[in-house]
Amino acid sequence: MATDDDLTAEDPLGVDVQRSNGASVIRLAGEIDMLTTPALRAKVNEELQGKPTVLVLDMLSVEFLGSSGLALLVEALDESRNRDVALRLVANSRPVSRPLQATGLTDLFALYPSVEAALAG
Amino acid sequence: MQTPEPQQRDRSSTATDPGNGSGGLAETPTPVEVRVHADPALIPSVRAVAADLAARADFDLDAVSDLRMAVDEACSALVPLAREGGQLRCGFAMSDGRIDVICRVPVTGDATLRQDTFGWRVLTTLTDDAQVLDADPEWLGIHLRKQRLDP
Repeated sequence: MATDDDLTAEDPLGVDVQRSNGASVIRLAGEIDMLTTPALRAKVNEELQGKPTVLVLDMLSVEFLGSSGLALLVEALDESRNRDVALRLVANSRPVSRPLQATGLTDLFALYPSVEAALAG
Repeated sequence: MQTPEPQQRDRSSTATDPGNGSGGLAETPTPVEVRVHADPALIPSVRAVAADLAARADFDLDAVSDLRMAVDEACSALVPLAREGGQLRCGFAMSDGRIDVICRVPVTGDATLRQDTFGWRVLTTLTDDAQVLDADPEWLGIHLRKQRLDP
């Protein structure tokens, strides 16, 4: 129940990957900033290299998204198109939606309110 | 040069004249100042203070988010330029429905802040004003200003 307990001070960003039926879901929890972006970039690239049909980034539990995280999302979008992977973001709260909106990036991404909706397309 | 006691300072003059004090950029008196080691791991604490001050100054939730992100970006740009063992100092001044933030780090001679980056573009998008403070040869800083949107 208390999933917040999974986030220790040493691991400010939780990254959990689940694969099924050609789709990868990366569930993120915590803060995406200059400190946590490199590890996340490695994980996203690893999933993209597996060429799933769909790559879902579940950002419902993301509490902060800095410019390094925004840059990573744009990179991932470019790379997903190169590899013919459908990249879909799940986000419905201010910590993610506001940075996307304020920087004019919202329209670039396929945004969904839930993982189920993102997997359904 | 004497530094006046905080309670004697005119807060608005502090806010309108940031970084130009005679004491150099290192000592720039503001009502709130956070000093941490110039370590990326401590930036979350600094941006949390920025968000808290904005919320208490009645900024709307989008503006609080914007300021948190802008301060994060300023700190993230400055920390890698800091001299070994240096401090990241962020001062905050609230006045007339706006917040001025002055973040700076001690640098060695040739450190410059690039303004052709995605991060800098984000920073200027999120704030009403963003300036590099590079007049002091020993400290490099960024001054941000965020205005509250009053209905």
